Formats: sequence, structure tokens, C-alpha cells
Amino acid sequence: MTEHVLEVRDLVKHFPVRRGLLRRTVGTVKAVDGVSFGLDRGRTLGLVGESGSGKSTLARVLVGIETPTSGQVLLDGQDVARLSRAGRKQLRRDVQMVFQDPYTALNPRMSVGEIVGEPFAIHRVRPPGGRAAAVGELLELVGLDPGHVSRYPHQFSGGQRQRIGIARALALRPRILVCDEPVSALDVSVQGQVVNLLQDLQDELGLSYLFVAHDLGVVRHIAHEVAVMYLGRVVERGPSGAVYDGALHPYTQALLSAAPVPDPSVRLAGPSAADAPGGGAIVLEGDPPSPTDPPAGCPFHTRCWLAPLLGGGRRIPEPCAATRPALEPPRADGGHRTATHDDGEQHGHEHARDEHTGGGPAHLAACHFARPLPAPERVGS
Amino acid sequence: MTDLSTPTTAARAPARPAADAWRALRRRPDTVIAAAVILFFAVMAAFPGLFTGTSPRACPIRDARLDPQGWGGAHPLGTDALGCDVLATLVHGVRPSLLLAVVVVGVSLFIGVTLGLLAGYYLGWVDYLVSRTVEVFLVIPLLLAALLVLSLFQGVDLGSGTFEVILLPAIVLILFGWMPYARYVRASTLEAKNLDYVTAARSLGASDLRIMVRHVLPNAIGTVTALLPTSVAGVISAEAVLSFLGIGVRPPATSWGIQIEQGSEWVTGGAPHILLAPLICLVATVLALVVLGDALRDALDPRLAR
Amino acid sequence: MSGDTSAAAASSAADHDGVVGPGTPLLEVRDLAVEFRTPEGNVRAVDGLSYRVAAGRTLAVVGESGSGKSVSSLAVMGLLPDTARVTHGEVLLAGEDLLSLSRREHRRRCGERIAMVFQDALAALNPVHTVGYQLTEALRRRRGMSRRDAGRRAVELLDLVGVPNARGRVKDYPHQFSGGMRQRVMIATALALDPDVLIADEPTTALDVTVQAQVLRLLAEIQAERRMGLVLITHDLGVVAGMADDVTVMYAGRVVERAPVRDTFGAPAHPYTRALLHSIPSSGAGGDGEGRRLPVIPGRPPSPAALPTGCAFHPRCDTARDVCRTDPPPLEAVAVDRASACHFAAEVLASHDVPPPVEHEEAAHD
Repeated sequence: MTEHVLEVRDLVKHFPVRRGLLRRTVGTVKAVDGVSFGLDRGRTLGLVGESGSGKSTLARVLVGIETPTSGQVLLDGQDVARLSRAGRKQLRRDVQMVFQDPYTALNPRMSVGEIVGEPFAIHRVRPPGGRAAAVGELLELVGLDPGHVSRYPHQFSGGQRQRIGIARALALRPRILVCDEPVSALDVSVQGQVVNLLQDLQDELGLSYLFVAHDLGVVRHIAHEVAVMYLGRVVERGPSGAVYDGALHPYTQALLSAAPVPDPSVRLAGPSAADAPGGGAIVLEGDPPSPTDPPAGCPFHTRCWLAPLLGGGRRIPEPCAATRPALEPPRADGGHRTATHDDGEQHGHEHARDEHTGGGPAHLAACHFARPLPAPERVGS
Repeated sequence: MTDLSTPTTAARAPARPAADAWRALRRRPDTVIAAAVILFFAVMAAFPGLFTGTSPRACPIRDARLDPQGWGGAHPLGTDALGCDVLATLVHGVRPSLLLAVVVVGVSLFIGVTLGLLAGYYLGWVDYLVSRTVEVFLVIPLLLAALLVLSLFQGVDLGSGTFEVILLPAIVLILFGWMPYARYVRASTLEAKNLDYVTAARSLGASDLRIMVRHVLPNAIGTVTALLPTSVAGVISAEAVLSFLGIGVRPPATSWGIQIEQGSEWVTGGAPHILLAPLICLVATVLALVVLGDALRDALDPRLAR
Repeated sequence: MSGDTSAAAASSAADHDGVVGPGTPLLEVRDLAVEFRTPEGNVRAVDGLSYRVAAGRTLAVVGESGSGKSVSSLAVMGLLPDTARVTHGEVLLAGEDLLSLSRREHRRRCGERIAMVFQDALAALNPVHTVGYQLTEALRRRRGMSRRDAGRRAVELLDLVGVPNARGRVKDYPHQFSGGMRQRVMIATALALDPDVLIADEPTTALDVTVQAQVLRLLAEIQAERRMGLVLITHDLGVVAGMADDVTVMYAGRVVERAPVRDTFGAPAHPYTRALLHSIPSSGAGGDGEGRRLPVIPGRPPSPAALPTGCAFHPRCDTARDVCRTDPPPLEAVAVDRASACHFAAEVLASHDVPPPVEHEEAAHD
């Protein structure tokens, strides 16, 4: 068993909600609530979820902007929290971040050379050949003209700015890049260029990516493994092909179904979509619940489309509302699993253990009734 | 992919913010005029001898309240109630007035920016302390505080050097002038510190000091730089008010404030020029600075510069 | 492929009963040109845009940033900023040219019959008024309704757009709604005066996937029910495929292709459309992080201030030849109901090298 480059064990990040004159804590936002995964060298883990799912908070914990409430982040098997000051500084060099919005991610009052060279200044590193040469090489690496070091961010287009952000992230030769929605603010025709650049860099430098996105298409394209988050938890995780072609969790199935596909025969509305057997596109009702007060039992049961069907009409099956499902492989017959007895307090300890069952990454889902969606139900005819 | 490396605005390639700012300034003739006005008064402050040969302290009482005689006359702008030459007083009053403005704005800017930056960046108790102090100082009336300072320094001989004569008004005006800067900088710090480039610097392991100085301040200072010209104007006007109370620029030195104070008695008494001459100069300076301030704000805003 | 087309045809026929054909446009834009004044000179943001929307039909205007798609809708609504002006063209609402009216009259006419839904509902709704007030304001001012009637209508409207507990929520402020609900509220305000045409500018771009599906479904249902004309401005070809009947593709301020949706997606007649369809990373096909390069369009959309000579797309085009660098191609018919602005449109149309975008969906389908 090889060691993961990055491993996260039962990570929790809660934010206190303070109100009033005395700033009393009146609640907790459970942004990340028990997440575990491992990331290998040269691989990409796609992290998919809607706003409020905690995917961005998780990314910020990993690059050290936020400190976890509990749980462990292991870098090469070493617990980051136990590192010395110097060790933590090294961690900053190993894990770098690429941001979503290319317009706010670069300081408008610094030149490109200053931006890309800043990591060297912060860490007081003198790259071989000098800082100016290193900056030039970085710009070339991401496909920009090294002659443009003295220009300012506003003179570049969105895609070019994202390249500058990538060059900055690569300056200290990190091994892991946390990409927080790196292409979602870009034009469609430019998105592909940046995705391809990231893939080339991965091949060339052996980088590992944690690729956070809400665009399922991009994630499928770039990720080897996918984790789907809902309300601070991973509800499904597995090899990208397995998750996309045989999603086990009803939330993942709804997500995949709701993403508009560029095919005019798949209507989002109208008789062909709504009345078709199987419901055509699965459209979830309502909004995700607040992470301050997640539902008891399965966090998804309030919006689940599958639960009422299983309960024979309006009723929701008892385990869904009562027990929190663990992230584990589905039962072979797809039927109801024995409920795991974790009661919110100590949930997730199982999660850490189910890491290495078998050789490759297993396909896991946190649902009592996890089963693949029968193919004919997906598109009405 | 070669095409990718050409920046969007290739036509104005070598531009830097400073050059951009200057270009934007030049496009507006009003800013050029305003700059000329300020330059004129700056030269006057530095070399009063160029503008008048008369001493402002030669005040023969028999020549009191002479009407303006035009260029070439002994008293081009007439004389004031004590017989002093109005032009000479005006010319020699520029230096204390402008010096006071620069010192007050400079020092209160420094205090305000530092406190605002710290409060906005760290929040928590630092912010609590700064914000409450700001509120306390905003609540105390300027004139009341001025009287307090006046009584504190009564009888203390401060000397009569260029700097000493403005010391008292400077203290009062700084004490009550730093709050707007602190508030503005705090607000824009709050805004700037959550932007991704600050997060990026933090994830790189940059120190708080570096983040504040390199990333937050340059982007937070924009709103304040536009505030400066109006503040300079405010200080010059406020000094006139303080002169009423006797804690303005100390006699025998003169200032526009003192002149305005003295001239106001004779507006209806047959000698309006005693008031009008310094007042016009003050208004011209204030207007020029306001125009410059507007232009500066436009020029420094990257969205408008584009 | 044939299975898809027949299904799409069936669905679109069901959508509008075949009563209203494309011959009776509610809103027609003819040869619209919009210029912006900038310090560097006048910049043409929209150049020669024409489209027509009939009752019960959905027209998608597709383009990337800087393509002029949003500017054109502002021009239709009479909401252009002061730095921009319409230099050419007509906007016909039921036969009347809105651009010949005074600006004030233009907006008044639009307020009655054309409504707009924006991308950012939080910015488009006034934060200091309750949603009830914002819903009733137009009713009371324009329709002269009493406070009570307008209040009742506001609740009806919120109900219609699927806001739960509408009666209780009219007293809430915009920030008290979630993103998806806010978008519904904005749709409700747009529907208040029973418009004939709804212009939706990236109505779901800011929303999550599952919420986007809800809002799009709502829009489609309301449109079918009221037989409104819908102009959907978007960059998302998935949304276009799922919603629109016809599509107008814009590039650098000009229309490059105009066609019924199912024709374009099956066989695009412009290299830009074709490349755009290629470059969508699909959640259905390929993937697994291996074998992986995405097909891309090299370069980036040009700035409207510095358009290339000839065909604006030629620097990024894979089929560009010498003539493309010198002569701008006119928008010409290439088939029934279809037009393309490409010198080699026939060639592009004939080359059926577009792989079906979503293979496994179709496997499930057939």
C-alpha cells in the first residue's frame, strides 16, 4: 500500500454563529462535517457539490487558510497539525491554491512579475538563476509571453489571468494544487484551454489536484476520482467513470440528471420531460437546508426523490429520517442495509477506516438504499 | 496558442498606473487650471518676496482701510483696519496656511490609516477599541476641544518660528481630523481583505504585515486619496474658525484665517476688500483642490481608467 | 440521430400546438447596431442583429463575453447606459418601432409588454423594500389597482412561481430569500403586468445545478401556459438545447448563425458553433481523467475595440482561408430557416464530423 500524498481523516470545520451585543454563540455552521479521502501522486480528485456543501471551506482548510475544528490532514502520512512552525511553512509550499475568480485573485496594483514572484519573496527563496528568470520560466510554462512581466492584471483577459494565477501557484514547486472552481468564471471556449493546461502540467510535473467544481462535465473530464458533497459531508465517492455512469446516491443521480446536456432531444421542460415514465430529468424540490441546522438522519432525506418512492407513496422510510448513513460500498442486492449506529456525535470514525478496502479506490455511497439508477429511467422516450 | 500571449489592450502596452493617471488628468482642462492655481500658491508660500515688497508688519495706522489701488499703486489690494498692506498680509499668510494644511492632513492621514487598517484587518477587540475611540472623538465638538487645548497651553511660550506658529491649531485639528480616514480605511480594508488575492497571499504564508502593506493598503487607500484635497481645504477653513477663538496661527504671523476673521468686521463698514481678498484666495484654493481630488479619484480607479 | 429529431419535433409540436407559426412575430429586431463611446473612440458592440420571437416560442441568443448578447437586450428594453446609443436598426413590438419613440415612451411601452429577468436577482431587487411592495408597485402605478387588489395579485404571482407560503412571504425582504427563490421572485415581478415577451438574461447562471433545473422548468411552464415569447440570453449550450426552439449565435457583435435548435446541434453551419459544441466538457462522455485533451478553440474572443479584419472569427477558425482575412462574410441562407455568416457555410454544414455530444444518453434513449 502506497502512502497518499494527501490524506484527510474525518475532517470537521465548524464556524460559530455569533449574535448580539455580547457576541454570544447562538449556533454552529457545520461547513465541513466529517470528510475523509486520500489523494495520490499525479492524480485528480474532483470535489462536486452545490453552494453551501462545504467544498470551498474544505479547500481553504487544506491550503491552511482555515484551521480544522477536528480531524486530521496528513501530508505524506504526517499530521499537519503536529508540524513545527518550519514544517508548516513547508506545507504552505507543498499545497497551493488556484482561485475561481480571475478578476479578484490578482492584486490589481501589482505587476505580473511581482505577482508571480511574490511566493519567492514571502518564503525568502532565491530560485536558481534568479527571481526574474524564474518568473519568466513560470510564465512560459503556463503559456504566457515572459516579456509581459511588467504589465498589470487589467491588461489581460480572464483566461490569461487564470494562467497568471496558476503560475503563481506553481512558483514554489508544490506537489498538490487545490483548484477552487478554476474555470467556472471563464468563457466556454477558454475553459477548455485552462483545463488542458492543468492536465499538461499534471503530466509534466506529477502534480496532484483537488479539483473543486460545480460543473459536472469539467470534473468528469479531468478527475480520476470524484467525491460528491452535500451539507458538509461526502455522500458518494468513487472512480470518476463509476460515479458518472453508475451513480449510487440519489443526490448524485439528481445532480447528473439536472445538468443541462447539449442535446436538443433532452428537454428540460414540457410534456416529454415531465410526464415521461421515470420522470425524465430528476428535479429536486426546494433548496438545500441550512448547514446551521442540518436535518437529522440522512442530511438529504428532506429533498430526496427516492425516499418517498421507497416508502410506498408519501412516507419516508424510517432509517432515512432516523439514522445517518455511513459512506460504504452498496449492498449487492441494493436493498436496505443494516443501519449503522452512529449518533451524530461520533459519526465518521468508520469513514476513516473504510479507506482501503480492496486494491483501487472503492465506489462508496452514504445512503441506506444506495443502488444504481436503472438506465431506462434516466431519459423518457 | 501563440495568440494567447497578447494582452487585451495591446495598443497601450507600456502603461503603468502612474502614467495612466497622468494621461487621464491631462484629458481634463479643468484639472490643468486647478493644478496651476495650486502651483501658484505653492510658489507664493516658498518665495513671498516675488509677490510683494511690502512688509506685512509695517502698518501705519493713518493708512487704515485704503481702497485697492490696482497694480502699480503702493497698496494694490488696499490696506486693512490697522493699515497693513492686504496684499503683503495675503502673500505672507500663504505659508502658515498651506503648511498647516499639509501637516494636519499628513499626520491625521498617518494616524487614521494605521488605526483603520489595524481595526479592519484584525477586527475583534482592536476594532472595538478603534471604533469606539472614533465615535468619542466625533461626538466631542471641535470648538469645545479647541477651547480646552487653548486653556492647556495658555501662557506657554511656543516661540515664533514658521512651525511653532501653527503648532496649536495643528494639534487641535489633527486630534479631530483623523477619524474620517480611519473609518474609510477600515471600511475598504474589510472589503479588500476578503478578496481572493489576499487569501492567495495568506495561503502562500505571507505575514500579516506584508499582507496589510502590500495587498490591502494599496487597494484600500484609493478612497482616501480622493478625500485628501477636500481635507486640505477643510483645514484651511477650520483654521479661520480657530482664529476667532485665538488659537489659530499666532500673531505676529498672519494667515488667511486671521485675515478673514479681521476682515469680516469691515464688510459692511465700507472696506469689503479686506475680507474679499483672502476669501477669494481661499475659495480658489479649495475649488482647485476639489477638482484635483475628483480627477485623482477617477484616475486611480482602474474601472474608469479602462 | 433520427430518434432524437423525431422526439424533439414531437416535443416542440406539443409545446405550441402548431397554431402560431414563426410568421407572426411579437417582437422583431431588425439590423440593430449599438455603439459605445469610449476614450479610444466609438466601439461597435452590436452590429446588424436581427431576430424575431413569436408567441409561445423560445429564442436563445448565445454568445461569449463581449459578443454583444446582453447589450442588444438592453437596447431592446431602452435601458442602454448613457455611453451607448443605437446607431441603426428597428425594434418592432407588434409592428411598432420602439426606437422611433422617445426614450420615456419606449420604456413605458416596454414595461407594459416586455419584461426582463436578470442574472443577479439580489442586485435587481431593491433591498430596502419588501418583495410584496416591489410586486405591487407596478400594478398600482401602471394598472391603477387598489392596494388590496394589488396585494392579492402579488400573493397569486408568488404562488404561481412556486414560492412556498406566498401569503406569509410577501412581507419579506429580498435578502431573506435563497438564491433560487429570489430568482423566482424576480420572475414574478416580471410577470406582474402580463408581458407578451420575456427577455431572460442569463437567468440561471448564478444558481446551483439542481436549483437551475427548477427555475428553467418554471420558466418553460409559464411560457407555455401564457404563450409568451421568450428570449433566452445565455452562454450555456446545455440550457439552449433544453429550452429553446430557435437559436441565434453571436460572435464579436455579429450574428454568425441562426437556425432551429435541433438543426444547429445536429449539424452546425458555422465553424464557431461547431467548435463551441465540440468544446463542452460533457458529464456524459469521455472522462475518467485519462485520454483526455478537451478540444478547444484557440485564442480568445476579440475585444470589440480591436476586431480582426474580414471575418472576426478567422484567427481562431480551423477552416479559415485567405478570403476570410479580407472579406467579412454576409449572413446568408444555407437551408430552410437557417442562415450562416461563413464563406464556407455549405462546406461546414456538409461535413458531418460532429460526434454526437452525449453518447450514453442516447444509448439509454434508443
